[in-house]
Amino acid sequence: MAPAKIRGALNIGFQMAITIGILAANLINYGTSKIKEGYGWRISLALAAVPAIMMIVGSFFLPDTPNSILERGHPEKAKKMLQRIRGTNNVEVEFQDLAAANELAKRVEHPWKNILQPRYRPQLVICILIPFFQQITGINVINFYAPVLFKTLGFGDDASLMSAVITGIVNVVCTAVSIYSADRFGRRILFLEGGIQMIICQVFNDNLNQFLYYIKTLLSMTDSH
Amino acid sequence: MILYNVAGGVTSMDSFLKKFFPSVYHKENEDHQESMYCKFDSHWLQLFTSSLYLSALVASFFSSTVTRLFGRKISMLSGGLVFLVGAFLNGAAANVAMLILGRLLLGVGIGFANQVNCFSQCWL
Repeated sequence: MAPAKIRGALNIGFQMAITIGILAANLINYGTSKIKEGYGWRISLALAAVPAIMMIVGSFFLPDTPNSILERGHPEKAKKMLQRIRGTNNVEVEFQDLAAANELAKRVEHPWKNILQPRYRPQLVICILIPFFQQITGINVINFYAPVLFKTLGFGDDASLMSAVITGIVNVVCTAVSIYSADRFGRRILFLEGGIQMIICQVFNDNLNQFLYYIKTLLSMTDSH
Repeated sequence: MILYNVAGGVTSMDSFLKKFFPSVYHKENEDHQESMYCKFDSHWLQLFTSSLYLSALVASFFSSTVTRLFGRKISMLSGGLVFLVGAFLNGAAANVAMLILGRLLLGVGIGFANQVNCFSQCWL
């Protein structure tokens, strides 16, 4: 188990990996789009081989967890692995714990029925609604199509890719802030604050075209004077 | 690790559009006074970007079974290999079919990788 003190921060680690990945992708595109011969997209797409190789190499160093070995029915192997991970042969107590937990997990009947019980209703509803609304904000579309989006708004090739890089940087910085503050202020405060911020940005986003139109008209008015 | 965001930027590159989706490229350069919407109106272009999510969805159903039966080591290794083939196909693509097939494979790789990741997170 992760120590409770840094559990919030560890959870966000995965999010951090995603945001760094998005930023890296935007930076790579910005770089390869500059290649005059026009084969930049090949480099961009082929660079997906880097995480693939990291995964392949990583898988050789990754020990199977004693828990999963146990689950697959090899108690002897599981014990050996636990001894290797802990660096001592004296793992009897922990191993018994694991075995007991594994037995218990096997004996849970109808895990799907349990979550439908009335007393788990709040958890069930929140579990569905939070990711649902997170997706429905369209943030993934905005992130994914950022360069295309900026281009449609009238930015040039270079400016659209650069804008996507800026979006990526903001994303990474904000994730770093939440890693720093998650275990200091509590996740509830962060969640509420994030929600308020999202409403404001959502209103702005949906009217972006309108805003740009006003700005353009204003500029053309000052130009003609 | 999540480098699949690259495709979104690639579809805004002129050389890429010219080679694989000339209709989109022409529409983009035809008339700048026209509405700024609907320039990326190509089913194949959308399939290119979305195919990854489709196959990732399907693969994630199988990956939990593979991980349970063979362990996360095998799961991660096979996911990585499929991902590698997908990246190769995409980088060497000569036509739209190769692009989409490559991206389907990337999706399978992601389906496995996400599952393994969740697994190691549960282990934390």
